[in-house]
Amino acid sequence: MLQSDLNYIKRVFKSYYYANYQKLVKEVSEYQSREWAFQTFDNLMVRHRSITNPDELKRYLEDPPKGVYYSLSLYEDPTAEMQEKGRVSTDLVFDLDADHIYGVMSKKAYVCRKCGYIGSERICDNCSDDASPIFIVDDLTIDDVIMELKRLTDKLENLLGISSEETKIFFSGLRGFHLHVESPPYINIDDLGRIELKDLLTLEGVDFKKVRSPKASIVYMVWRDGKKVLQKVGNKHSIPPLVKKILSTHDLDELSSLLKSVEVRNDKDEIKTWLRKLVGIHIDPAVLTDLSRLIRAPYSLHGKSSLIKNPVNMDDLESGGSYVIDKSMVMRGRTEVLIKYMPDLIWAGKEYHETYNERVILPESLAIYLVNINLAEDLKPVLF
Amino acid sequence: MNWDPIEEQFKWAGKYPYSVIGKKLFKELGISIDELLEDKSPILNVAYREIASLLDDDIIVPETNEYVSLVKFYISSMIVYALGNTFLINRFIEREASRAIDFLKRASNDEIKRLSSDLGIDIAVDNDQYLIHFTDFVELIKGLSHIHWKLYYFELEKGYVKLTKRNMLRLLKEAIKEEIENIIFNIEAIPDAIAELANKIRIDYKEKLFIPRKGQDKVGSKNPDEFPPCMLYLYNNIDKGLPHPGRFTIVAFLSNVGYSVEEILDLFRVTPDFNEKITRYQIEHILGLRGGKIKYSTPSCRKIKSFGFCFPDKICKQFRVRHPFQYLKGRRRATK
Repeated sequence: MLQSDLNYIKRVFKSYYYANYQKLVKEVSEYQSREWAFQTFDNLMVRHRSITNPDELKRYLEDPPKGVYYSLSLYEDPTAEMQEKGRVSTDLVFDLDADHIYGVMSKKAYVCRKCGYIGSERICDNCSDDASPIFIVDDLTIDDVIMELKRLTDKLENLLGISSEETKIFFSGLRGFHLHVESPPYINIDDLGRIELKDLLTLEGVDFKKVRSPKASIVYMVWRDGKKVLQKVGNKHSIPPLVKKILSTHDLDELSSLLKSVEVRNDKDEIKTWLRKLVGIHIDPAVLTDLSRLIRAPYSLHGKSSLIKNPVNMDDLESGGSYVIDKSMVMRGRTEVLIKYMPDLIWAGKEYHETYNERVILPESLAIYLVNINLAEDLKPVLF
Repeated sequence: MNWDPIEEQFKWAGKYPYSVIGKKLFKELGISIDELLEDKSPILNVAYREIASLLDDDIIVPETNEYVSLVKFYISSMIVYALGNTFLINRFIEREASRAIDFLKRASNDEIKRLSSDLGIDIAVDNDQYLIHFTDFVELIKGLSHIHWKLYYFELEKGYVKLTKRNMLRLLKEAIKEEIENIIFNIEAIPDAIAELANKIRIDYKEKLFIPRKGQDKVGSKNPDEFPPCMLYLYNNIDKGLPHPGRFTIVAFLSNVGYSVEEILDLFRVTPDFNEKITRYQIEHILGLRGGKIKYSTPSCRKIKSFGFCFPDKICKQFRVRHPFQYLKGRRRATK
């Protein structure tokens, strides 16, 4: 990245934090009992800090960090070494990230590591080598993650009894959402208990022979979303016929028998992989089960996009990815930037067309995002 | 508050001595163990036979009334703890929990709900289905090795797992075992009279108690590399000077795993302001060789946690370790 671009991004972060530092602790319950961590623009992680009031946080933000994080756990001594912190409880957090979700709409650019080619072709135009894909988020990507989020909240409510009043949802600042549960008894579930929740939601390790009742929660997981998911991806992929049949079966007894029949087949592993991909919920397992995990602070900026990790409600989600991204922009400002390559994409409700090697004016967040993923450079403020 | 007549309370406590009422009545009885021994109380004989029957199938424990059942449970707990043999402790816990389940199989739903509530688990009964919150379910299945016990194999609605009576009782058995474990491993001191009774068992059943059999372990190893993380931390920090609870804990533990007074004393020579006379006195006091002649036991994990020395590792979590001795056993199982 050009030094001038780095300076530009740091200025954006600095002015945002100068005006908004108090917000960062607003949504974090008992923030004084948590570990805080700051990622510098050199990608160093400064860990084991504690914050006792917003002004203390302000000092950490004066030289603006690329990322601000806090621990999901509450500790007796948040500044101590990991082993000596004395964990008290841990928020239950479900992280949905477009990278992990099967079949998500995404735009791609390709970079040839050999000659530096950047463009839309999988094979490099210059040296005919395989080029590496770069995954690009836009409004449609977020729309797909919203669908996954709705599937998750449905299971949390209907299976686990965790109501929307007990959860807080945040746009993560780029690729998805964080759903936080911060109340007992959930915060007291230990790591082995969390593994059970992860297995339930992702269908990991299931042996359908052991399903004794058509009302078992694993059958519900398949039954509840089967048709919906099949409608979305059914025609796009070569899904095995048995998987299609399972997903379209409405009768629970019949579905239970079909699932049991999977276990005697030679291709049972393939069938189960398809079911996990299609009806499993693609949460990040480490975020749910790791009790020492850090997570981006609400109202802090995502280092890659400069978008705010904003709280969102169900109405925001109904409005779709365009609204979520638009609401998370730091400023409405625009920026001139030299695009190396940008595919067709939709950002905060506006369409942008495929562009090669051209100086264009873009919303600041999109320009910074493209610079961060090396698809653009040379940011220049647009004053009028 | 439960206002059952006292005879009803004793009836309940006799069946479930680790219940809230059981604990309360035992405490209120204010039984002096020394007095029981002086009076040659038949309860001690019953407790002796109770423990002996865990080692010898030919010994029959006589039927007892509720009062004796209650007192016997607590005396037996102290005896197995004093013996420090994990095999025997586990057999005792298993037998007590199975005894409770036999009662519960014939019990009314109200009785099952009442005992569950005593154990900190709220359950509901809907027709023939027993409902338990999933947070309790995932906690209790950790002790069950069978792969059938996974959340997704059970019906789950609005946070509650629906179980048959058989499965509910299986989970309650785990909760009962945990409660008894907590009682045993939170015993702070073993009175002389109980230590003598434990010694008698140690002598009478020397071969059965100490010939290693499958699943049986000695208390522990003297090798610090095999110590649980809390004890290793204390052991490694002796030279920096430990606070009183830390000194007490590590001395009791080292003695339990076979260190002599002289060996423990040598470890403390590196402490700042070491005074041999005072340190020897303190060690001998903890080991029951001086003062009140009470041999202090290694504190439980709960106590160690409250002292601030608990740094659980994978083994602690995997084997749900409640006491440092259990760690030593878990470690050997994990490295097999």
